[in-house]
Amino acid sequence: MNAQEIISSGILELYCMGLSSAAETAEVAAWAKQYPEVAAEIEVIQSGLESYAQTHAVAPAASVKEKLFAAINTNEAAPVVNIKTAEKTTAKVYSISPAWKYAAAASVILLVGSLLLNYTFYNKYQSANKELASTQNELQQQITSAQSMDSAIDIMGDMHATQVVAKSVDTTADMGARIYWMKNTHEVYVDPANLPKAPEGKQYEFWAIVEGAPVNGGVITTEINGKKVHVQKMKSFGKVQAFAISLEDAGPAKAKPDKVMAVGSSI
Amino acid sequence: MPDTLKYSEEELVMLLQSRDQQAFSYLYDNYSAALNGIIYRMVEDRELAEDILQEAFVKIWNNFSSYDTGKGRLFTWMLNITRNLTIDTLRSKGYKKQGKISSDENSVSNLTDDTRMAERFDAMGIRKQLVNLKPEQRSIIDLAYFNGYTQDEISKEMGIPLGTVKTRMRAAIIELRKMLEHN
Repeated sequence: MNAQEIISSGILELYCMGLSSAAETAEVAAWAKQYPEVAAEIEVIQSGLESYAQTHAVAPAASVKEKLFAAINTNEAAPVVNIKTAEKTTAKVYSISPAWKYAAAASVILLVGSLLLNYTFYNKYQSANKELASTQNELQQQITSAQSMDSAIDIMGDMHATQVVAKSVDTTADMGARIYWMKNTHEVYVDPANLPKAPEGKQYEFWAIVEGAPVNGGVITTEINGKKVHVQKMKSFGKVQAFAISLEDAGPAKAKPDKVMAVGSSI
Repeated sequence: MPDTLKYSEEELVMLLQSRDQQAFSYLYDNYSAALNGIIYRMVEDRELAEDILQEAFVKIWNNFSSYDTGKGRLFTWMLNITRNLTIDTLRSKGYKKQGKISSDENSVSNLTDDTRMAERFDAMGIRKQLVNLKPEQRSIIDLAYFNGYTQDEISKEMGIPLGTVKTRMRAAIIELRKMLEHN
């Protein structure tokens, strides 16, 4: 655009009125520097508007000037402007940073707190888990024991059960075992409560005397993990003259008894 | 208003840049009434207008270093500061209310002041000639000058396309200039 086009476009009037956009204002300022005619036109428009403003002038009260000079002299005495700007900048920095500091401090505290809590809770969880496991184990043992007691009671109370007491061959020894023989199902149970603990490397074995000959009925378990085992199932027998308990070397069940400890006849 | 010009605009600017209070006093004497007239037209409240005028001159004094002679006349720069301050004040809710109430209370005295000023300029012959401006030419200047309207607001207020604001404004100002030249 040449100077004349700029002048006739009307943009200079908008510029002088303060109506031009920021981009247009920058453009006009550049043109004013480039073209003396444009600068002169702006001058004329502005002085025209100035005269127009003067036609609408309203004189302010005299007190305004006094107050104005009092205000700028207060400002001069203490350079409030500078302090204000300084305050503003620092205020900006400080108004944000303490917040961040607090936020950072708070987050560190939270993190540490959370770690401590994690640690505590993990320990608690671990011990609770252990406790639970041991409780469950105990409970399982109790259940097993209760079940075995239940079944023992069932066996002892069974109307078909015939009780046979195997008495010690050595009459001076106070030992023996109670045997429950189910006449209907031929199941045989032994309660070794009164058998002393088998010596190291030895085990008790159960025998049924069938038609004059001993038949192995299995190894009697006296205790598991230090706990006494009571009523336990042995092999089933239909026809039996007598039952016997022998002490054998530890190992698989033998074909013939070595040292018979107790004998009970089956009525 | 002083009868004799003591400073040229260049001298005045130089003195104000060196923070000469006497020059500032001269500036105030020469331009306060014109600026006050514009503020008054915008807020329609004499006391509020004077408060804004005082604040505007404090701003002019404090920010004088940012005035660039290359960008136009001193009065235009002062006017922009004043008008922006007035618009900001009007936009703040509290002042708006106050302005309305006070305008009702002071309307009679304000009218007489306005008339008194008008008589003064009649004597100068300018105001009479302004009557010859077409009403729409006056209003487009007044909306921008005294109401601080944007181009968009002027276009809506006058019911003319946005693109036309520029050409209408130019025509109005050319007409205004012709009248001032005759004077």
